[in-house]
Amino acid sequence: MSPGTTSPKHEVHPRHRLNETIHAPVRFSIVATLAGADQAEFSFVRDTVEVSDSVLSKQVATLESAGIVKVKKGYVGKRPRTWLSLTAFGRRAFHDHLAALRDIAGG
Amino acid sequence: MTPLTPEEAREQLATADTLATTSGTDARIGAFTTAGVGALVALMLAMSKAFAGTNTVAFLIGVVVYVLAIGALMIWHGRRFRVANRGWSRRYRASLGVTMTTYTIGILWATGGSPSWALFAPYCVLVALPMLVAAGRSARR
Repeated sequence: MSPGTTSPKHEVHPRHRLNETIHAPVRFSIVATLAGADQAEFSFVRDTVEVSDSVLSKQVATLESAGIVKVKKGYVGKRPRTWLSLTAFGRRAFHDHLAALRDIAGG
Repeated sequence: MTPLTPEEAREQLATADTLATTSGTDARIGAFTTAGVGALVALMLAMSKAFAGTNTVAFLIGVVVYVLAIGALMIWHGRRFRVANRGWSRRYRASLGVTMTTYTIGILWATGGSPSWALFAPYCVLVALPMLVAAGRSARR
């Protein structure tokens, strides 16, 4: 930019900063639940969000493919366990999403 | 994407706050496990000073009891623990690291210097302390 010139200030409406993957209601609830935890067991998220196993699996797969959620499978004894956590990218994306929501809420 | 009204945005923010409030039961399970590991490591150190090199049978029984107790605690934790509240994993690992470091120093001290119980007993408490403090913090969250 040459001295003396000013760039036009272009205010982007906060709705454009909402993350489309997180914005869907069930996915928003999943990410919000995981935001308070280092990691959470699949059944805990299912019970908190109040969805069926199949709905949660499908939404988690979408979040995983977007790099927002990490899925870790393991066993406790003979019982299979699935642990969910937010990735660093997912945590940042949710933080930015909440910031956009606050801007919208503030009018 | 459907445009949000300020009221809808406020509702979503309230939902996020509610959902991020994690389980008190799991906080207590995590705290109990942390405190339990710290206490068992400290007891193992005290047992090592009491019996290692002087009473091999008692020492071996102590080691077996320690291994069984740690194993039982880990199995119970694995079965009951459903959510690690934010920061629990970091606090657990950090406090375990300090406890195991002081435990190793304690073993070297006990085998090399023959310290008195008046000094060694408080040291055993010191070994457990980082994990007890971490447990207290985890339970309060």
